Amino acid sequence: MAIKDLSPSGLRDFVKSLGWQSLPDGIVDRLYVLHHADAPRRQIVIPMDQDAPDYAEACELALSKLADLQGMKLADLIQLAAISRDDSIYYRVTSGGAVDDGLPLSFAASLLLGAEQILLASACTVLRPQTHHPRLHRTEATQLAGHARFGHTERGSFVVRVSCPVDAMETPSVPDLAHANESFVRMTMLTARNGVRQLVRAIEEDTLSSFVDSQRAAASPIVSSNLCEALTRLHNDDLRNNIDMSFRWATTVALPQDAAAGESIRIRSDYFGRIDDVRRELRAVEFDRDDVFIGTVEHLNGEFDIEGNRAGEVVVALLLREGEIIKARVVLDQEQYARAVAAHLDDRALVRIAGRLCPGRQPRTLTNVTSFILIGPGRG
Amino acid sequence: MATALTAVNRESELSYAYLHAIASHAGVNCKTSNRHDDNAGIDAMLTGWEPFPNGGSLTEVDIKVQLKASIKPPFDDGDSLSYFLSGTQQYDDLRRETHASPRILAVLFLPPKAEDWLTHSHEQLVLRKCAYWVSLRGAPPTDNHAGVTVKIPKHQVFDGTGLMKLMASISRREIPAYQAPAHRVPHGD
Repeated sequence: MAIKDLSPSGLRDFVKSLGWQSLPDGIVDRLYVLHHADAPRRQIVIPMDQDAPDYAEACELALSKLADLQGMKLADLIQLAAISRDDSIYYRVTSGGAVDDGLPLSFAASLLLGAEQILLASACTVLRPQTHHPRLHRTEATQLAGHARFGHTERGSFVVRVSCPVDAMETPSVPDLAHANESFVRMTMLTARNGVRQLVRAIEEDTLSSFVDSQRAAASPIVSSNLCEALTRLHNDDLRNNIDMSFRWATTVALPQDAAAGESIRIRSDYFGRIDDVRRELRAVEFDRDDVFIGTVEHLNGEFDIEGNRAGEVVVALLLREGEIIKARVVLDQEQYARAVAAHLDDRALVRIAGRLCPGRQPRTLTNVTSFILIGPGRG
Repeated sequence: MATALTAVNRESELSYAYLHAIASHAGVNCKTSNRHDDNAGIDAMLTGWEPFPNGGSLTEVDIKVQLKASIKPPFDDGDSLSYFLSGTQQYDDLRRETHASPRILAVLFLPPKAEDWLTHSHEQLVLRKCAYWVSLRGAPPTDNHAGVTVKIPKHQVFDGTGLMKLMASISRREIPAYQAPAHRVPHGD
C-alpha cells in the first residue's frame, strides 16, 4: 500500500496506538496534531485532507519523524501503518540448521496452506466449537479467509504474515455465538492465538492428556483436530524448524486484557509430533462410517494380471454430505476397476460407491465396497 | 561520483551554505534534498521547535524551501526586489493554497563577480549580500510558460529573527500569503 492510500484517520489512530496523544484542541486548522509525554516539543502532524496535493509527502514526513523517534526504519513503519486496521498473525520459521539458502518449495507451500487452515479452523471454532470440524469450508469461514492477505516477508528471515482487516465482514448471525457483538475477524484471530497458546502450554507443562480430555469434555472446545493438522503443516522434518507465532492487533478494536501486544508463542520443533498426537486423539471420536458416497476417480494404481486384466487400488475424491471433499484409497475388482478407468477417462464422470469409510489422515481407506457404479454426465 | 561544479552549481552550493548557517544559528534543523539534479522538487526542509515568539499550538513547525541563487542585481522598486522564476512548475507548486505543509521561496542575491562572493580571514568568514524569502501562496496563475517575475519584500530578509517569526506565525497556523503588487503579476521577458 502506498502512503497516499493511508487514510488520515487511520494514520492518526496508528500513531495513537504508539502512545501519542491528540492535542487537547484535537484538530488544528485541519491537521491532526499529536504529542508524546516522552518527547517534549516534538509533534507529529497529519493532514486531514487526503486530497491535498502534498498529502503523501506530508505523511511521509510525519512517518519519517516517527520512525526516527521510534528507532525504526521508515519502510517498516509504513508497512505497520498499512496494516494498522488489520489483525495479523506472523509465523517466523527458525531452525538450528541453515535456512539462509531458502526453504524447500514444498514446505513453503505447506506453510501457506497451514496458515490458511489455521484461519479456517479458528473461524469454524468461533462459529461452532467442536473437537473436529468435518467441513472447514463453511461459508463464513471461507469469506473470512477470502479477506485475508499474505504480507511481505521480512528481509533475512522467513516470516509468513497473514492479515485481515478487523472490520472485513459482518459478524455472522449464527446461534450460540459467544460474543455476537464482536468482530468476527478478531474472534477468529483470538481463537487461533488462544488455541495455540493453550496447546503449547499443555505440552510444556506435560499435561497434554488432561488437556485433550478437557477439550473432549468441553461444551466449547478451543482446539480442534483441524487446528492441530494445520499446525503440523508448519513443520518440516528435515529442517526440524521451530515456529515463532506472534500477533499484531488492529488499533481500532480494543484488545482483551489477557492478550498482550507483542506476545510471541514458540512452537519448538519437537512439539509438532505431540500436536499430531492431539490431532489423532481429537479425531478418534470419529467411527467407521458405512454409507454410499459420490466422488470422482483421481488415480489408478491397479496392476495387470497375466491375462491383461487390471484390478487393485484406486484413489477417489469423495464429496461428503457435510460438503467436505476427502481422498480415500479403495481396492477394486476387475469389473469395478474397468468402471473406474471409464470414469477417469471422462473428467465429468462421477462414481457412486457403497462401502465403509475408515477415519484417519488422508488419503483415508474405503473398505467393504459392495457396489461401484458409474453415474453422472459422463456415463454414456 | 563528484564532478566539477559549474558556476551555477557554485551559486547554488553557497545558497545551501547560507540556509544551513542561518538555520543552525537559529537552532532550526535543515535537511536538504538532492542538489543540482532535482530542479522540480523542494530543496530543503526546515524544522523548528518552540519556544517561538508569540507561538501557537504547533510546537514543531516545518517549512519547505525552494532555494535559488542569483548574481543578477535585482530590480528594486523601493519595497521589493524582483526575481524571475524560470518555468511555471515551481511557481504553480509554490502558489497552491491546498498544500498541507507551508512552503516559501528563498533567493540569495550574490555579487556579480565570483571573487566578491566570499572572503575570509582569521577573524571572520564573510558571505556577501543576503537572501530574502517570500510566500507565493495564493499568487495568481500565469499563462507565460517561460516563467514569472515575483516580488520579494525587502523587509523579509532570510535571517534568524525573521525565520523564527515566520515559524511563530505558522505555529499559529497563520500561513503568509503572497502580496501581489497593485498591478497584475509582471511576466518575465
